[in-house]
Amino acid sequence: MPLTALPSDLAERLDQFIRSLKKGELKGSYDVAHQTLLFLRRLISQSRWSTAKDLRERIRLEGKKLISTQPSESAIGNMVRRVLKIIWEEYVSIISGQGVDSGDTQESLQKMLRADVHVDDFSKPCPNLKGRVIESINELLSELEGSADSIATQALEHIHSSEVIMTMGKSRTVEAFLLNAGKSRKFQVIVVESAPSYQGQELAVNLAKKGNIETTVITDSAIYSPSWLDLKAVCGSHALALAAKHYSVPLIVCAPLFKLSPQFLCSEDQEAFNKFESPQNVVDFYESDIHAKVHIHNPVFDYVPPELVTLYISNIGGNAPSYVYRLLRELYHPDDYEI
Amino acid sequence: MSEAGKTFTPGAGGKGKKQDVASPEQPSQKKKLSKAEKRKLRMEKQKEQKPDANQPDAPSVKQPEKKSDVPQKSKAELKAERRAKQEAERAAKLAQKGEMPSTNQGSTGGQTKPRSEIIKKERPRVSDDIKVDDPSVLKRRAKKLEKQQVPQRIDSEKKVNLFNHLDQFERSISLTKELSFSSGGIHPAIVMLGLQYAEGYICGANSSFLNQCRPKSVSMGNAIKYVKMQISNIPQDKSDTEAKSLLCESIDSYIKKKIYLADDAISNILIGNKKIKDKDVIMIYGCSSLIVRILCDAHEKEEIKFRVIVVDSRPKQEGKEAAKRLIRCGVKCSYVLINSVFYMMPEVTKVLLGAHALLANGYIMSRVGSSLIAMVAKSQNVPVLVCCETYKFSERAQTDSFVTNELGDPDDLVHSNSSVDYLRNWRSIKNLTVLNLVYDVFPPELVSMVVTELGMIPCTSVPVVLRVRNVEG
Amino acid sequence: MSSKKDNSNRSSEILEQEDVLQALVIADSFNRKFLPLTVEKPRVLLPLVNIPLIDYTIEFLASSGVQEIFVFCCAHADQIKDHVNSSKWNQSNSPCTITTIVSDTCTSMGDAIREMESKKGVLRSHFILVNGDVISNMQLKDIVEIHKKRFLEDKSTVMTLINKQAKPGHRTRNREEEFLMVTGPSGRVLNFQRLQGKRKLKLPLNLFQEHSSMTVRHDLIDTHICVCTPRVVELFVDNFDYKTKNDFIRGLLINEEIEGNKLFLHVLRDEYATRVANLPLYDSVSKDMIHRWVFPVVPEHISPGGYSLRRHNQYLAKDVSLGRDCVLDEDVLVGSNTVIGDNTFISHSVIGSGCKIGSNVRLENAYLWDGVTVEDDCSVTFSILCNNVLVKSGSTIQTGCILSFQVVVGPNIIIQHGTLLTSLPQSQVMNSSDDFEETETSDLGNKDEIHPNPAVVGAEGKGHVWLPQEIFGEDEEEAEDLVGPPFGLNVSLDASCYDDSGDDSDEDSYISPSSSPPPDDTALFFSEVLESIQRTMEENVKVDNLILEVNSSKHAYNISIQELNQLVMKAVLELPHIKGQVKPAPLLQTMKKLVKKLSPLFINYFKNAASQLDCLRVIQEHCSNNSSTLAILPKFLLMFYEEDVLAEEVILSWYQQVPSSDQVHKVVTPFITWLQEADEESEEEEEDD
Repeated sequence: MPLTALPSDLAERLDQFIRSLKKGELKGSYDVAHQTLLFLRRLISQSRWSTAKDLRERIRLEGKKLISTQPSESAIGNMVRRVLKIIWEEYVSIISGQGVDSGDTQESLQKMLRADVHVDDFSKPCPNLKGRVIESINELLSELEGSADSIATQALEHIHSSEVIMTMGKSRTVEAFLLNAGKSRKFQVIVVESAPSYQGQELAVNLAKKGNIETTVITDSAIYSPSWLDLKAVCGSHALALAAKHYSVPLIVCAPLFKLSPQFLCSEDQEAFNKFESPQNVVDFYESDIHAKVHIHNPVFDYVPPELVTLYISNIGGNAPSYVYRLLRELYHPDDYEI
Repeated sequence: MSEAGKTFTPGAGGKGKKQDVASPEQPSQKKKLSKAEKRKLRMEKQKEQKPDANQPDAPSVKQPEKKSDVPQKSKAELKAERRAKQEAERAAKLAQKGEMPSTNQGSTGGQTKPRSEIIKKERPRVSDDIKVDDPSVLKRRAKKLEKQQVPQRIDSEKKVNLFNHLDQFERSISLTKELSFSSGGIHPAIVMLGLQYAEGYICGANSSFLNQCRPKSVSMGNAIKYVKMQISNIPQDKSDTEAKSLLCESIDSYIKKKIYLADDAISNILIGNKKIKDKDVIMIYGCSSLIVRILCDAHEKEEIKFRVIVVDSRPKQEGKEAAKRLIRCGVKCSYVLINSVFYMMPEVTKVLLGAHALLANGYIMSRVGSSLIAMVAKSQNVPVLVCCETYKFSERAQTDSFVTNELGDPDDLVHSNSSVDYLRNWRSIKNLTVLNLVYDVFPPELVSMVVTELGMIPCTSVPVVLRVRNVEG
Repeated sequence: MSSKKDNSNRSSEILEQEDVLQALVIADSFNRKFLPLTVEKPRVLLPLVNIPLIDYTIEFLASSGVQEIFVFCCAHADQIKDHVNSSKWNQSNSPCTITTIVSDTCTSMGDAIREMESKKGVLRSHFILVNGDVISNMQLKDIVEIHKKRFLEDKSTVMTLINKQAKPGHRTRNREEEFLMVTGPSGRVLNFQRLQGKRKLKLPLNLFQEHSSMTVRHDLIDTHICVCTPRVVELFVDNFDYKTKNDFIRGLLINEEIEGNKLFLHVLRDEYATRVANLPLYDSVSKDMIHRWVFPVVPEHISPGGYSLRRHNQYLAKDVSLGRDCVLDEDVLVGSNTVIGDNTFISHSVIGSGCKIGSNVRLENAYLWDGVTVEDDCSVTFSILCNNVLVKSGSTIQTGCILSFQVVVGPNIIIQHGTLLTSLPQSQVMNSSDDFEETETSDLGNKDEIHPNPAVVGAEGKGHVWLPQEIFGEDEEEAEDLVGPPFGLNVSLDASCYDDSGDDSDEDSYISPSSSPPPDDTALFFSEVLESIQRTMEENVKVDNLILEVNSSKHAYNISIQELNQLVMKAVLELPHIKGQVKPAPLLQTMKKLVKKLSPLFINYFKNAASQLDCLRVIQEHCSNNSSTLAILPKFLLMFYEEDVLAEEVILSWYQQVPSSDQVHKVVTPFITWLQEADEESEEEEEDD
């Protein structure tokens, strides 16, 4: 059944959302994830659909549009997948008349095997699906909102007093993590300024002001030197991770679950795995000779291979990187890895 | 002038085997030292690079900007000479006043006594430069400076704990008022500074001033050592002018031999051995004049078609200059900041790094960030070549970047004319410190090869080269 | 004439009319920089990186919060209208309303703005004036706010000019539009001069006398974006000789003392904005685009199909087919459905959608628009190939060529440097269009089709050589452009050659290269003024008209006000001599008539003491060469004095400067004495006034 066009106000909203994504108005993946979820909730409640199949189709379609606008922002895709999974779960539970408790990890391996076998028809009408799906999305939203806090509460388990911690750039999660730890422990933080965005400087100022944590700002180039002192490095770029490895310093990555993406990295050049911003921040446009003849690159992201990561802290607890596949299995339906 | 020169001859000629008692453990003894003694102390400090004294010395200045610039050299010399004259006059005045009679006469009596003391105290001495955290050292230095009428550096309030032992460099302090040629913000070319430094040393007054401006560099130390040696070789009976011209000659030959010719040699060795090939993608970091020159040579003389990725880092962004020079030569360039190194590395076939100094244990001291590039290159199996003239070889050994380093002006990290100036009032935030390191030290494992004018050698051969040099010298 | 799109959906939402930010897009360049491309398509619809220029402009305006956009089109108006109406901006979910206004009669930007005045109430408040070929990623909101605040504080604020900083010699600078800008501390524009190839510019002395501090800048690019108060339209209407924005700026600055209108400058640092004003800029802006300077306006975001970005700035659309061993070097953009053959090498090029590129082809710095076919073994460097061009196998297109729509060349032909080819003979196009570039071409199906020259376009070629037009002197804009680069991409070629050695390293002294020397404007101007005055006298024309005439000549020749004063005076003095009156008596008669008639002219120009002094010096100079004038000098001065042209203080101060040895001194002395005496008497009278 072909999908009907979106109602006009939804289409407008979608356009607006896509525009703001393109312009980069949304700062940080948390905002992006939040906005995506809000949009999807609206989509479910306002668009016309009769069966779960229709709904999934619809969400896939609009999700694709969103993902293609900002392919490097994995949070969009993740949220779309989460919603698809929710629809699937709710549908199965309604059809089979029993609850599928995704939180129960003991059983889920078995269940997944079973579920795939016997529920493959989504076209049955399902009256109270909408309400239940929206309810679940609301739960997901509150999980999202609480993710930084729940990661932060784990801080004390990982930071002891008079420790030296190095971090890079600005991440809402890391900031909350360190601030939380700073309430009860005394330690020192070295922040890499991460030019050209200088978010590291912002983080440093926040830490020093809000948390009274002893903070030192260093340049990107100085990562190597002080590393051996560090007991822990939290979140960061590849170079930082390498430096940490070099000095056998544990590297902890703080990330809420919504950032967990079922994508694989084969090579650095893989499509949609990086974002390139204007070279303006690297070299001023004013510099005529450099502008005309030199290629300037300004990638935004860096990839840290799992072997360099010691621990991955999400809002549900700390995991080894090798365990991530299991989390993925729980969060997303395998069919939805490719939208 | 000659008097001043002679004054130091014994110290320099004596190879400094006898150490004075400047260790902080003996403050009482030290106080008893005569004025001449103190003066000597200061000189001794300059000659830390003895083979037996394996103490780290002060960190060094960055790469020279334009050492192949002949006119500049002469200018530098002129300036140095002018300075020398001034200093000599000052010294002479002091001498007339009889303030330092023993020193000026170069009397043996004044020297034998401390010498005997030194022999007793065999313990190696740690340079004052890295003991800023020791109040006694500070006090001593203050006294010394006062005497020399050199403005004293005000100790910065905001220091990073780990680096309390190093001088905090802050531009706001107008050290340069008195002597305009060595403005702190701009790096003077090594040769220029080295010469000024050396000449100043002869006259014995402003070397510690220079030290106050910026901690001295390893290569500068080497240059000074050479000059000192030359001074010691000058026959005592020569007249002032003769001695001076002799000295200048020897300095010229040093510059020529060790710097220009060395650069030529390195460039030839690298290109001659086909280390740069067609289709190569070479990553360089910052602006090392030697490397830029090699690349320009390779492009212009050999017409090798290669591409260069210039990696740069804040706050100095010297790479811009490198990129400008390369494109002027017609070399194809890309330019990235150091955070993109990992992204660029898969393209790269070779990494060329300049060095600030090669330490006796094979470690490499270089502009901060070089280590990071070497590390990333190593992790991706890209060969790292370090290009370095032998005059940068040092007898020191050091394994980390803390013991001696230079702290840049932290305000460099604040960028005021941009919208993202989070650090504008960093001094007012109690717990916030800003650290601007200038050098870092990295182990030989990360380096595939060192290219010197003597050929391509592994890092670990540094002591051999040093030994050979000392024998020659 | 005008067609208003009513967007009921939106207009209801616009409650407070005052807060609506409006923009006027001039979708016509009124010049011929893009000939012969613009014979068939207006400039604003030419694709840059596969997207029509006007889309960038509208996107930029819409994303900076402009709610109402007026697109003013003249030439090819129907094409622009169709394009705008079918664009996404005209759909219901568009964040802004867009209206096209059509006028056939406008021949300059000034006309266009004057046309807006006739549509009362369209531009209600502060608005943004922008050309239809501007590319930018800036946010206007803050600037508009600053502008409004300034306006509230000082009602004489008229316009905020937005300029972008770029070093002299920068690739993206418009070589034809180099200028010098003098600004005060608050960003107020004090002086504006175009270089026009000159290496020396004079700054008026009073600039230094009146302002304690100012900035003289030569590091700016005019973005052709400005924030205007509604007064701008009135000013354009009042001064119908204003043709371009430059006229406006110049006029405003000249009349600043009287009218007190103020211009302000806003300099962009981090954001990108520039106008695609000519072909070299087309090249360099395309490259800026590919190098992502305009982020977030980058190809993969703005193109509907999207691109995938690869290392070395390679942008490939989704369904591109690349042949075996084909090399995309760097800075390459390939549009959708394009097929590229084996062993082809492409670098620094933009390739449109639906192109077919054969094997062993070499494309460097080439701009291929949609549907271009390049057959095997061809090579294209630094050229533009428009839609549906066909290059047959074995051909070479050398640098600086432009192959307009539908042209076919080849096989095995070499198109020489800088060749311009069109599918229609030039004569046909030119006959059917008037002087202006972007005018529609009518009745194309012509009888006497001249056959293409096979020596130029090849055996199977279809195309005619287009010769660059002689530029007609009357049009000021065109005359100014004489100093610019000749045509084609030649300039950009020089700029991007990698082997140009250090000569542009001394940027400080670098001022745009100019080929032709500036014409002797002063002499031309003088003769024109003389002629005008003569005509005024003979045909008894109103003096007001004369003033206008002189003013417009002044703009045309870029004469400074001081020069103008002197030249006008000189013209008046010489006029009788031209007629052969050398005897003092008849001379006096003529002079009397002249002065009586022309006194409004004098009063208009010799407003302040400085200009009056200038005038006196001219007289003095003239007298020293001419005995008959010398004879009547006192009478002459009296005439001026009585007509209130010259103030007596000025005459007195001038007198003091005249050396006593001079003949003039002797002759004038009695007059001066009289004046001084009269002075005492008149003082009392003045007090009553």
